[in-house]
Amino acid sequence: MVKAKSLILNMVGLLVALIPLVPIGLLVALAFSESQVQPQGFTTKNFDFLKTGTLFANDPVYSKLYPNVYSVALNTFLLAVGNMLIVVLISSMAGYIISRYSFKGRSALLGSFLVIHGVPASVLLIALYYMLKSLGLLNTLLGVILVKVAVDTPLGVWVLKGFYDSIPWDIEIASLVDGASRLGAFRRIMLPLVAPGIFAVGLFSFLSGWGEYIFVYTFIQSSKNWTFSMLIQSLVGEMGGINLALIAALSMIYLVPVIILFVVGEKYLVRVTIGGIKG
Amino acid sequence: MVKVTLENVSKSFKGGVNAVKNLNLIINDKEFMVLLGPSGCGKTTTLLLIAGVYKPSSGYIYFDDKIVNDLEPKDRNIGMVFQSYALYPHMTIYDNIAFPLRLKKLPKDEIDRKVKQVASMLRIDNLLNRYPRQLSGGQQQRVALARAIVKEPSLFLMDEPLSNLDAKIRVEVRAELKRLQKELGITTIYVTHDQAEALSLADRIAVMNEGILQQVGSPDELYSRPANTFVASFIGAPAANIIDANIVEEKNAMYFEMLGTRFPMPRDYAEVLKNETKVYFMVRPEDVRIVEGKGFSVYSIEWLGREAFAHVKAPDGTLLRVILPPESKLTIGQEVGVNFNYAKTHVYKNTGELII
Repeated sequence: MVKAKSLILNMVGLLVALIPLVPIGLLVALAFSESQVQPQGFTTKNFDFLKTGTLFANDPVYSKLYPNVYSVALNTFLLAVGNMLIVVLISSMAGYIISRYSFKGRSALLGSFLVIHGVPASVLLIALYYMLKSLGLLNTLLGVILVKVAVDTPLGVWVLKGFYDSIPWDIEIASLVDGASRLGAFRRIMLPLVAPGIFAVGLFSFLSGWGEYIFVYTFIQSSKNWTFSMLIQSLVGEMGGINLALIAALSMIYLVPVIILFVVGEKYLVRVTIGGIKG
Repeated sequence: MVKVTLENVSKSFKGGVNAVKNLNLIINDKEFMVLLGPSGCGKTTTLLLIAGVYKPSSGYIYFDDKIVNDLEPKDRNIGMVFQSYALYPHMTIYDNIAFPLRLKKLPKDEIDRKVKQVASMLRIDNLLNRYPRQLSGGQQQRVALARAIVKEPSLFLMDEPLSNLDAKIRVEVRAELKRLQKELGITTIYVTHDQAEALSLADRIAVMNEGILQQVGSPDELYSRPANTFVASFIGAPAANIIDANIVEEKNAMYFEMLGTRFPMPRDYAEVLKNETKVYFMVRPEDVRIVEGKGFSVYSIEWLGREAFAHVKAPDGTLLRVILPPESKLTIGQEVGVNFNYAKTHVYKNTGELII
């Protein structure tokens, strides 16, 4: 009876897993394919660009059109890490203040965070374009990072406020009485206790920066500042899908950090849902 | 160690809540003072004012002769214990106890010596490498005590530290707490809503209600001479009987008219109560005497071993709480009479203040 039940559960699990596995499987098969348009045979030649970073190395015209893959990777990484660091920095402090202090406009601020989070990014594009232009940040990675931070911070603050809320006052008062300053209590007691929340916010803002497309597409013109999403899009759009296998290979490289982060972070993320503190 | 003086201290919060109103209280050096009152009476606020977590809205707090209103909590040399224990969940027991010492930047070997010393005093030396969540409630409370003691504070603040423990352990830790406080000679302010705990621990008790101090005194004073009906009803278990009474005079004799009948008044009462009409008559359950007679009937009896506890129904339907000697042979429904040990009863104005 138990055996039958676990068998059925496993079957169901397998079925559910199939849904994302099929496209990923196709992607992998295509990346190692000898044909440029359909999975066929096995070769690693689609990954040849990893050697020098140059796409279409044996085509003198095309190779000049595309930036070095490694510089694209660096740009993507900088955008993701920059976004992550600033969002974590702001939301870990802002979440604490909103959780612990009562000040005028506190609930209005919290409400506005939800509203801002709900605004689709694309409606802001034109306004943001002019703002970045007047700040001289158009066509720079920093400009895109700042926009990303503005979009991702409200959710981060909201999430971390919840984590701070779950820490009893008593623990903070205890540390103050034990001899910590307000800042010391924040650093030594509060921050370590919301570490799972900070990890989650950090991970999501990293991935959000890593996968960003629309802001890069709108605000970056020069190909030296491209990120992966831009590069892949340009291959689809302008090449008319001539080399799908190459796109698949690039996409696999694009996926590597995401997979690493989830494998490494899984244990930590599970703790997020359980919640850190027990009375 | 330190003498704490509260002078006209008030604390109000945003939204107009007056948690503490014009509080005057002196806690003497080495004294064990208990702040007692129902929840929401302002006792925890008072404690946090003394800790420096809150600043008084008006009035002054002195440690010895020094005003400490604006002194940060960290500079007050206080050890505090909470109902929730408030251990740091991400630190081992050792690190929890060492935390205040590390903040003082003591040398490592001195910290180690002190932590081990206090751990063995509280018999938690075998738990030092564990985390708080791996400990039972009683053990966690010992760790919290150790953390408060290790910094050698001049003042202990305890906020219902025993409320989360189960009854048996509570009595154990209670005795230990009292012994420890006397041994260390540290001034202690202890907050509780449990009057039995207050009576057993305190040198003096301060009873609070709705932010106002009701009475300060030794447990004996509070029990035998409560200053108002609130204190009278709050202290003592089972609770005292507080009875609506009219004072009537007839043929040169004074009577309490209450419970649907009349009780002749002893002479000392009569002299004081000449000018009163409506009062409260307070009698503790152990001062009610069951006599042969009519009018009252036994409503319920609980035999408790050392004594028996009964409800007796008065002619007007009021239920009187009565403590009886265990050998009393009453049966439910039996008709009886009632008298009082007037040496220990009190009479209060209908506004609550003590008359006699």
